Amino acid sequence: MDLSFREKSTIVTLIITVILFGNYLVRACAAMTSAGQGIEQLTGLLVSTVLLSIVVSIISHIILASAFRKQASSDDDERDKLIELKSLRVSYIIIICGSIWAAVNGLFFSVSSAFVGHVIAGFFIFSEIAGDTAKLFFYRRGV
Amino acid sequence: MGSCNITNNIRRLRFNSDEMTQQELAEKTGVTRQTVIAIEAGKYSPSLELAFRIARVFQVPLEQVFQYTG
Repeated sequence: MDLSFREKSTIVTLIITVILFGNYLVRACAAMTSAGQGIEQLTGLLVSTVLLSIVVSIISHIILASAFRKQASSDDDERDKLIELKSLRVSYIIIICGSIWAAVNGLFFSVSSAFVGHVIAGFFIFSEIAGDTAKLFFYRRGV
Repeated sequence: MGSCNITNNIRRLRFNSDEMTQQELAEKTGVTRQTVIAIEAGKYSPSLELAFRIARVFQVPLEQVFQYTG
């Protein structure tokens, strides 16, 4: 399969997001269902997961760029920009719907602010995964 | 999605231009090779500007490169 640098970069980002934030979401769901552990205790895990994902993304993209130096140095062309735009729209729709849902729950139901925060974080992660998946779809199937 | 009403003769024109490679065409038009592949396969309709740049590389009118079949 002949992949462009942007596709390789998107695949790496998607893998990192799924692994790191998948781990966070599993633990957050477990905390919400178990009586012993509160969701407030997971804030530290969320912060450490975000920081770890930033560090891992930077390192992996440095490795990727050095492995495919010529491809990495080229600018985005019009197709790359169009695909970026369309995949961002997918992400935005999900994050907006999730935020509204979390805000409605926070305003009209007796849920903690920590719960609302984690729900928004969950939708943010989901929007990232959906955006990257949409990007790969547009690259493969056409836009 | 993925299909368009615009067909093209880029593959034939490349062949007639001393078997120009997709990479060479990409470099001459300022896009990636994957974009040239997508245009040739009909998976992407280029902008008007890119269409003119492609026609200029082959030194033919735009209609000889792209045809609207809608």
